[in-house]
Amino acid sequence: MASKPQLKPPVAPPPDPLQAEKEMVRTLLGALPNDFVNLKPARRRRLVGQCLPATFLHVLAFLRNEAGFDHFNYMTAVDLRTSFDLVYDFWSIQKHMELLLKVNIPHGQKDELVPFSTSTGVYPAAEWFEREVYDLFGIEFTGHPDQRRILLREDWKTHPLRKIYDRRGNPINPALGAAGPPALWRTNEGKIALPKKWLEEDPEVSESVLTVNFGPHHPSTHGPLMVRLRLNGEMVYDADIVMGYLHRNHEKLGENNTWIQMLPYPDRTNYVSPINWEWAYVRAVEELEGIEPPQRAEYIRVIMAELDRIQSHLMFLATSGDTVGQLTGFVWGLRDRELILDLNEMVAGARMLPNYFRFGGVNRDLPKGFSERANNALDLIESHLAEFSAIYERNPVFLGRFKGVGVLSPQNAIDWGAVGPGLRASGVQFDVRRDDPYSVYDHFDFDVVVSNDGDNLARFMMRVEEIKQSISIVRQALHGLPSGPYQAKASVLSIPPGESSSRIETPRGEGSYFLVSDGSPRAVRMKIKSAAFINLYVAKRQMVGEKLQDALVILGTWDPVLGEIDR
Amino acid sequence: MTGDFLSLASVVGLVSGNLILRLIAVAIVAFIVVSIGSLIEIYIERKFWARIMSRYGPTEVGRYGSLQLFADAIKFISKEVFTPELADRTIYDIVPVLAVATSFVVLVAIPFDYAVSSLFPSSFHPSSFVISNFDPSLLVAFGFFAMEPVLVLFGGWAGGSKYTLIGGFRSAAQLISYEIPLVLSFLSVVALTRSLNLFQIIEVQSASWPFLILELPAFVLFLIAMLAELERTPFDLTEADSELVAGWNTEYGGSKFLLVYLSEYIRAFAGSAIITCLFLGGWVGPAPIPGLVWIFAKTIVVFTVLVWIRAAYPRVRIDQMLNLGWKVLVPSSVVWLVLTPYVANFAVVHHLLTL
Repeated sequence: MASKPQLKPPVAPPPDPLQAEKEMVRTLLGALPNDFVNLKPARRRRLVGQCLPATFLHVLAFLRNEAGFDHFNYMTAVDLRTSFDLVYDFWSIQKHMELLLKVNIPHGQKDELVPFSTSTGVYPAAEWFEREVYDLFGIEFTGHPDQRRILLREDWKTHPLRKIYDRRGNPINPALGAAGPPALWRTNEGKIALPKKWLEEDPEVSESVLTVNFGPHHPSTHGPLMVRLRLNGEMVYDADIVMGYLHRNHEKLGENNTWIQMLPYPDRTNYVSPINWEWAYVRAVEELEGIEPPQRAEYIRVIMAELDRIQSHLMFLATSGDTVGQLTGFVWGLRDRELILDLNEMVAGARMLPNYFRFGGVNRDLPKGFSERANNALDLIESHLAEFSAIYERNPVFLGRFKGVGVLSPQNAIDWGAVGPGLRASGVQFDVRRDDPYSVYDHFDFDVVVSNDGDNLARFMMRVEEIKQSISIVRQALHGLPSGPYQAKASVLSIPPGESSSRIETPRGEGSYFLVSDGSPRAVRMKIKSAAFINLYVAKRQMVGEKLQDALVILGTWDPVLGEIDR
Repeated sequence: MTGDFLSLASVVGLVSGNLILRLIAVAIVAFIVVSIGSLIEIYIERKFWARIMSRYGPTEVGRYGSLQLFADAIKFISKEVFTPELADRTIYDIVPVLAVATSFVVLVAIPFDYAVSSLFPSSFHPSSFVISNFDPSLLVAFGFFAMEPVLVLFGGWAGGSKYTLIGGFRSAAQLISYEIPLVLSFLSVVALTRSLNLFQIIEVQSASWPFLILELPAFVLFLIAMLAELERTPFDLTEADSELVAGWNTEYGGSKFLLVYLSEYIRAFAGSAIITCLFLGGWVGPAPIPGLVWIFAKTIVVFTVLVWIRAAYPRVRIDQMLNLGWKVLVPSSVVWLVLTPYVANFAVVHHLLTL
């Protein structure tokens, strides 16, 4: 029997993908109607807006206390030649929403300090970011607890990210800026300033403590980093960190090189996980251009990035053995890392700094036999993880050094701005791959591993578990690798004007590039948000009150990479 | 003597007749034994450890890298001899020499010379030759062992650096707190053999079983305390390379570092040899092999176990180490000391031990 064609039920309008974002905008504007300018959703899970300098602190307090933007991602500045844009980026861990807030403040003709109010009172994590902005832009944050230079030497007179300086730090117009780098910049004399707190200290206290410098050439600082510990016996009374020995000012390089010329630099930003950082840069440019890479390219990127995460975490397993004098694990970690570096060589031709990603795709297709070789390497690494557990997490002496030591509460982790495995080890669920998914991560089945202990062991185990998850993701991606082109059409020089910021879950946490383009072949501003930088801040805060031996282990569990910290 | 020909027997006769010549002979024997021992130790440390780490260790100089150690020694000796500006010169210079000297003296107490004489069984009666056969030999050995913390403290202080200072203080705390369990745990062996003479202790073992079996808890306690006393992983806090660069000997370089390094391995050799004598039966062995080979081989095996431990364990923290020393090792060794008479009684009744 013939059935009558039934009337289709009325199709419900597709749900607005930006509904939550619009709701948040309404909430914010409802509470603070006069403080925001041009607040709107930029894309899913991201709001962009501007606010007025006069009521800025008021807005910050509201954002943190009422609106739930509890995680301070980064802050930076953009020199617009007549004024500065201060850029603040927040993330709400509960609501999975990012807020990029700008404040415009004027600056004069010459290189003079510009005052602005500090946000460290609301967000403690802003401390080092504000020091960095003070250092590179000359914006003085009134009320900042410890206003010193952070990346440059203390006797450096200028603020090199201002547009009146060229790439070598000399003023373009000598009438405007002070002379460039100090003459003696190769010596250590005049590099370091003591923290304000130490200078104002009670002399009786400073007599009873011993200040020991660890680094910049020291086995357990993971690179040219200087840790100054004030010791009271074996206890750390206070800590200070001197960085910048590896500072090359990638951000200034970004303004002086064309977009495509910048491609090899992200590798050098973090030489332990180069591919994830390439991805961060490439994604930011792709967002400016508005192009989508083909599916095959996305899968290849996921494979390479997860392999990269595995080798970076293996490096962590290696160095965490080194920090407690377990050199066997150190060599084992490096041995297994070789397997992944060999895969890098097979795919990109280079082992450590592969320079593989391109705008809109990757440099070349995966070679023949890659899948088989990658699977073999993964099987081997997986079987070696059991050996690692014998000398690490099943070893009583190792447990004694890691378990229950250096406990970080979730509240402190969020307040101090921790990201990545360290944040998840404190029980805070935040992984960019799941909470703000990019690329094709939503195609794969993986867990975001979280621990509630927050101690050294939790941070250590987080890496072990993430290696297992990454192995599973790579296997899934190799299995479902689609065919097709590996490169979309993308222009390499004429990038449209605009702003973009990418967020990538690098092995050390969220890393991002904030790009401002005016349509010229070079960026107006290229900010690199480094995960290791803010994690080092957390490590510094954590060290105080611990034993000397534990302090350096805590530093190690935050996996600092100095290339990324100093940029 | 017949003409110009000096027979072995006549040399032995001459030497055994004269006390000073006898001492010199013992010193030469000890020096040769220890030099060879230290070289083998360092080679084992590098090669065995490398294999555990899945490396190769030295391969280039000599066959299987066997001459690497000589190359290293030549490198150390040919380096510039320097003194840091802030160092206390006299003490800084004298500490490495004293470290080697005191480490050597420990070997007086160990019956290597008896073992050497066992190579020539028919020439003379061993007891006429041995210098180690004196009553408080164990006490003398540990007396010289206990000089090390003083030297380390002096060396750390004289280096003029904060790393060396912290290393020196740690060393003082560590060695003083581990002397006590060390002595308490070998006291149970002393109680069993009723002698402080290592010679006697080995003789008793040769008539029964090695004390490793009868005195297993004491052996374990002694091994742990000895690890701390030798400043080896997991108790190498004095040279904690991950925080103190090289600890108390950070400021030593060139030939002075060579002496410090050498003294460590001589101490390790002496420590292993004492363990061998106290618990593993010294020169006694089941096969008809000369005693020297036995005692030497056992010492090397004990040292290899120390290397193994080093490869497997990370470093403990200073408070954990002190806790282990005072709260675990001291009470357990006291308890075992109290139990020892019962063990001895049991052993004698069941013919495991003849006293």
